[in-house]
Amino acid sequence: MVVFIVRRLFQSVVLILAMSLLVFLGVYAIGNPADVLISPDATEAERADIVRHFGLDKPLYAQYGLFLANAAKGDLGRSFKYNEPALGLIAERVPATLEIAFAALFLTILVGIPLGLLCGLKPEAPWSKMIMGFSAFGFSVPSFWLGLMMVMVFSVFLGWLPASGRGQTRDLFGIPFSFLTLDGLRHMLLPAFNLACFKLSLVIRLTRAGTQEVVRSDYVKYAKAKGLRPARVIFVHVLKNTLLPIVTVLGLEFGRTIAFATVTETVFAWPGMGKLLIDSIGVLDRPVIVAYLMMIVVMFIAINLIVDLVYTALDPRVRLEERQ
Amino acid sequence: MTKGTVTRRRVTLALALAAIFATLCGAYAQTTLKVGVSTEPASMDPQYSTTGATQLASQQIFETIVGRDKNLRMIPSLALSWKEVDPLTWELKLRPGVKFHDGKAFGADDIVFSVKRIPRVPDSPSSYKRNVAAIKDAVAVDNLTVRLLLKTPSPQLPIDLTFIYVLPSTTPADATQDDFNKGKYVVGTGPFKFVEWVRGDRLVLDKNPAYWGVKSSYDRVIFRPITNDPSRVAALLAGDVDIIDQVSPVDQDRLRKDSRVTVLSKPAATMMYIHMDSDRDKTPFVAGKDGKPLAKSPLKNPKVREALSLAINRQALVERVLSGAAEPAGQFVPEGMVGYAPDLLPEPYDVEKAKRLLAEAGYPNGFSLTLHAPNDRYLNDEQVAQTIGQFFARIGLDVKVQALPYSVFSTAATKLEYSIFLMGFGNTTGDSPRGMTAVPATYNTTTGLGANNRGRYSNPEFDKLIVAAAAASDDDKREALLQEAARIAFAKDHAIIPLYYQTTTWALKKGLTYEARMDEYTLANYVRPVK
Repeated sequence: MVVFIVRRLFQSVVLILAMSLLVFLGVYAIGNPADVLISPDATEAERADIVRHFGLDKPLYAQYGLFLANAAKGDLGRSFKYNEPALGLIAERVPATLEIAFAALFLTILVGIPLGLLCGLKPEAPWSKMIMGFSAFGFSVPSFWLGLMMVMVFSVFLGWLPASGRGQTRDLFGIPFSFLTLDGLRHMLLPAFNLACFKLSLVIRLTRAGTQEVVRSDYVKYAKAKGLRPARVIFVHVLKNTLLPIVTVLGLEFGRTIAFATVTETVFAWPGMGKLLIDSIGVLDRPVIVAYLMMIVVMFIAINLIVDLVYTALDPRVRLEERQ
Repeated sequence: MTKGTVTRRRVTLALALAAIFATLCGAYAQTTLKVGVSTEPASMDPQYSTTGATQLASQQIFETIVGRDKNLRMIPSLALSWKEVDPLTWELKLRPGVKFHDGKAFGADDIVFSVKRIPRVPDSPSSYKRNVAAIKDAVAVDNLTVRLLLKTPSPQLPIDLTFIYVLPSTTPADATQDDFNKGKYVVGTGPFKFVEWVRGDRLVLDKNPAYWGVKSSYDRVIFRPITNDPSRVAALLAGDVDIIDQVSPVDQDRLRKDSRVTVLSKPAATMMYIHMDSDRDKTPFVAGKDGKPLAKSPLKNPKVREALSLAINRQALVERVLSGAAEPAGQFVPEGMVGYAPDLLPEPYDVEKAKRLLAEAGYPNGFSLTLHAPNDRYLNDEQVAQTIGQFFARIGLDVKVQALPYSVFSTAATKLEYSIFLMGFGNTTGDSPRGMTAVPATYNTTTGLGANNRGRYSNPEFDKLIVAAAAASDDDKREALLQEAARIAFAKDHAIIPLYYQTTTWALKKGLTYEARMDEYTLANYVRPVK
């Protein structure tokens, strides 16, 4: 077990290093921040000054070396645009992103699982077909377009919900959150649904497929034959066994939601990390782009590491393979 | 009790309640204006970054020494007058009775402090240092008089003073960006007081009731950055915000028909142009029609450049591709700005003459080229480039158009990797020297001329005029020199091909009005309800 953990940790470090190199090269290839950031009529001396200050005059390997040395000390550089630490800028935006990511997750679970269950139990009913139709729609429609359409319908034509922003926030442990005020909740609804749409469709399908399979299994037939109430059969025997794969998928999808809420955040002007990323790419604010991507890499590696460790603990087969 | 009494009592009660409600509203109603803007400031330090987005915030809270009206003409602001005592000394008379938001009285020491602070603001990618480069020292003569001592004569000094935002002299010397961004020391003399800034979400300001100039019609103003164009329009239509800036041409047509919205446009200072490699014999993206390289790049020949200019139907471009959100251009600055030459009209659309010029230049059958353009920087930039490609095809050229994100495009253009490309320049100083020095002047890292000359056009005669204009202290003489320079660059050499001046468009909730400005800023104290 210890050997396994040590080996995985070592692999993770190598992976982070490899990713940092890829990210750095990728960002370097996009273009020169000096051309975008520095005002167009700056004199050559001013330009040279800024370029030197940002370290852009050094060769790529030297820039990368400097980045690694600083990163080892926990410093991922200062934003060119804001002249503030890149990590601090990102940390400032984390709560907003986490907030809609969690809201999307809740929506997915609260709406997706019951609907999927319904469809699985009564696959031939007309409303089942409707729900399945909706899920096909949710799968195939690009989230950018869907977001704008929702704004047009619910904000512009019906005027029920606000079109953008976080609304009123209230502090919890010194961090502002929208879900604590009514106005904030109203602002959250559309972006959260937009973000949840794909996952929702996925969960409906997974639950339906799982339910259909479990319903035919012997233990469900036995439970029915024993004369248990249908509600007990459905919620205890069917649902419980359907949930396992869904939890795995939701866990993985949640990471994706946090990392790539970019589109939703842009459409709804939601001040999260994804919007910061897009704005930073627009002005080639390299330290922020690199810091953001590195953070995401570390997050995914951590999630996978934890998942693997939990699997080892849960599944005897994985442990056996380890011993051999 | 009769039925009538009950009704009457109810009415009385209702009236009483209504009266109480109205009084309460009157006492507590705080009017708020919500502004949806396309960009976000980089800092709350008004001396940190010259980018438009940052100045937009500074403009609400702070004031510059010399001000600008909606047509970018200089007007008194914190300085009531400015005059040259001798070529190396300028004297400013300051506005009396002005107070900072914290109650401190404004005076000469604040000007001296602000001028001297600029070179000490660290790490800015677009610093104001150039605006104080000519100033050797600033001295307070008395509380309302300041003398600026210069290193070299600088007739442009008043223009520089329109970029110097004034902070109170009590601001600590070691105040960091972080201090400013958290709201410490964000104290100015402007029409609004700072309340809070949540990066990416909102900038909240309160009316400064003691402001000496045009006071705000609203108690509170909230600026919200909504970078995505359709989202900004949706926010206005949904009533989330009351006014938005930078309405794209696509949305303008629709919004003009919408009865809930007022649309306002103003010619802006941004001039769009085609830049050509007029220096190298072998240029990367021009070849013969057979794809083989030509002995000498046709773009070096002014006749060819003129032909390209004649091939463009600017009126059609502006009307069809930009939905009228632009004005055809024939030189660097629009009418009304210093340096505008009345005889330089936008080039007429003349395919026959263009073909004739091509033939005279030795290319009767044309040649092939790739036109590069950004696709995320200017109004409909990619479509504009596509259209221009079509125009060039009509005079017999084989044209490919390639549009790229500005971050990639500008890097390559600066490295001279293109032969012919679409670009824009913001004439934010309201006169032509800034653009003429940056674009058509000969590229020279020592003199700082031609910093944006990505086509490397060079004419010593033009340079001489531009340098002479910068040194001329007589306004009429300066204007004449600038006009002469414009004639050389545009009528004679066709150094670049001016296309059009972008217009900036705002959309407002019906019932509001705004005094549209050439500098594209949304100054909230000029937004008011229609009477």
